[in-house]
Amino acid sequence: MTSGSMMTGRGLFRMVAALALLAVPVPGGPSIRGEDDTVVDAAAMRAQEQGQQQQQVVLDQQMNGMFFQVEGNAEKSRQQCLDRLLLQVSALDEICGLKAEQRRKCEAAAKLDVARAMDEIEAVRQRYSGRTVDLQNPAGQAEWQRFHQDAQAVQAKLQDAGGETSLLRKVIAGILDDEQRSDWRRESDLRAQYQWRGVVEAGMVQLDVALGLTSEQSEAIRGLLMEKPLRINQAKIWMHGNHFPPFVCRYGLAKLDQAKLKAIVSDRQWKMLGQFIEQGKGMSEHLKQQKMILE
Amino acid sequence: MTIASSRFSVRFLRAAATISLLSGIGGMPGRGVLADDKVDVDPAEDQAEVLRRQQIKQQATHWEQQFTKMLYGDLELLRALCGDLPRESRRAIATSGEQAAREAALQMAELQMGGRQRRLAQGIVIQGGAVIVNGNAVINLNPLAQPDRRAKPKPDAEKSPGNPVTILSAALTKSVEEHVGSEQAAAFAEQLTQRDDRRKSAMIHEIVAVLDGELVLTASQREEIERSLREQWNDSMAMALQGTHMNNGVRVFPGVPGACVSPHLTKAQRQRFVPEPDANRQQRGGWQHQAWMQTVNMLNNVQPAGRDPWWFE
Repeated sequence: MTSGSMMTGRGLFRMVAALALLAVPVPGGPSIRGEDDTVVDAAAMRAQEQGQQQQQVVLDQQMNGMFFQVEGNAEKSRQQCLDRLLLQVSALDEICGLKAEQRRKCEAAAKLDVARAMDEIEAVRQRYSGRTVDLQNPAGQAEWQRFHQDAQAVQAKLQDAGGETSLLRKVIAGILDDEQRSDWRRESDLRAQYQWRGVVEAGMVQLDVALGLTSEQSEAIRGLLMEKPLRINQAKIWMHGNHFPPFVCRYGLAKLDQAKLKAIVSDRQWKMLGQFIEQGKGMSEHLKQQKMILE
Repeated sequence: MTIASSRFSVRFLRAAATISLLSGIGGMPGRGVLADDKVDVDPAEDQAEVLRRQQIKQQATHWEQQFTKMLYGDLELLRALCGDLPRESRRAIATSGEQAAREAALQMAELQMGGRQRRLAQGIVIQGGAVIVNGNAVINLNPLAQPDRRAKPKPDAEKSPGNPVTILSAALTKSVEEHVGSEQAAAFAEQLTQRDDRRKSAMIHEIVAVLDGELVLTASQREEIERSLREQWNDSMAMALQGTHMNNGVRVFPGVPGACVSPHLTKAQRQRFVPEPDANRQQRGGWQHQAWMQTVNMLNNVQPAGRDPWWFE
């Protein structure tokens, strides 16, 4: 019994040792997987899938943030745009003393302009709704690029509402009597002049310091710039503070009669001024593209 | 007698300590953390201070480039005003200008790094009216520096001696007086004053243009707001030109006091105008420093004209 018991114990030991040996992976041999190994592989696969998912952009999730500048919120952006147009109507009323009927028409036009912009935005939304872009392949990247460009165009739609081609402008032009029209034109001209002067000032402050202009020189250049204003978008040009106006001013310098300009400054100043002018020319395409300069 | 003397000595020492303590308090103390400033800490003692000085020096390199561009412009202006000058005078003026540009750069870098510090003991400094122990503000000795205390804007604060931009013009004017004559120095100073006035008018005009773009002001409103801003002007208002931000769908105009704008608006416009809440003194000071930096940085994207050999030969 004793001997049998010992045999049994030895046999058990051998069996455990054999199992342990089998569990050791043989280099080059077939892998032996336990349950734990399966879990690790699944996790790796999940991570890989997640990585792929990160390359997949669901456009519905991106639209609000990229289309609407006011907190990525469509309604707040619509309201902000409408408020801006209604302020224009209020200013018109302040200057021209609108009759109730005239004011009502202007307000209706403003609302229609905003509604039209929102409809156009909705059309873009529908075009991309339900789509997912795979940034890992060139077709997906191209689509993402298109989406970006359309998003920028969408933002511009709300910013441009009430602009030169808007219904509001047409209604204003159509409903004012002669006296009102004259008052409004004078006010609009003053605003355009004021805005252009702001651009000129922003640019001339830099020239004053960099070129060491005397007061006389500075006033002479200001005078030339004021005589030949560029058409600018008043609402857009100050959107980033005074970052862009100095470049607009430099482009304005490029459009002046260069001989007249050269006659104001010394040769050394002219060399430096040339640098400013070239920067203005270099930036002009961007400024036009952003509709800050209207040409 | 001995006791009385001893008491007097103690009182004297206490008073001296108090004066010493208070002399470091306030927004713009007189001396900076210059490398040869004996009042300041021995670099071997305080690693944080050593690091701070290194950062100031690094920042000063950037500012020196900007101030040098301004110097070359000022020298050009001076040349136009004074005509021919003796070589020695030219060199002396240009050299003092370069030295002033370095000093202005260092002072600007100090402002950028959070103002000046005066060290009381190991790990204890006074900065902007607060006592800072091991990096933590523990006591605010200056009642004006209390965060909730409102301060009225100080007119013409841009001419404050703490404004590094003024160092350059002051040094050049003094140098012209010494090496050329008081008449030319006065003419130069007058040109600089007119340029400052143009800069101030430009900033006010630009701020109103920004407001106009958002609020569709009438000509008379623009005029009234301009007047209010001119009367209350402080360089910190120029913050509005660094860009506005949106809050609940309404554009906020940092640095522009509501009192200068709101009374001139219609009800509809007031709903679209949200001034930044009244700034406390510290915040306003910070904005003012940023405005000064903006002034100097405006030539950031301009290549320097280069040293005019006429001044340095």
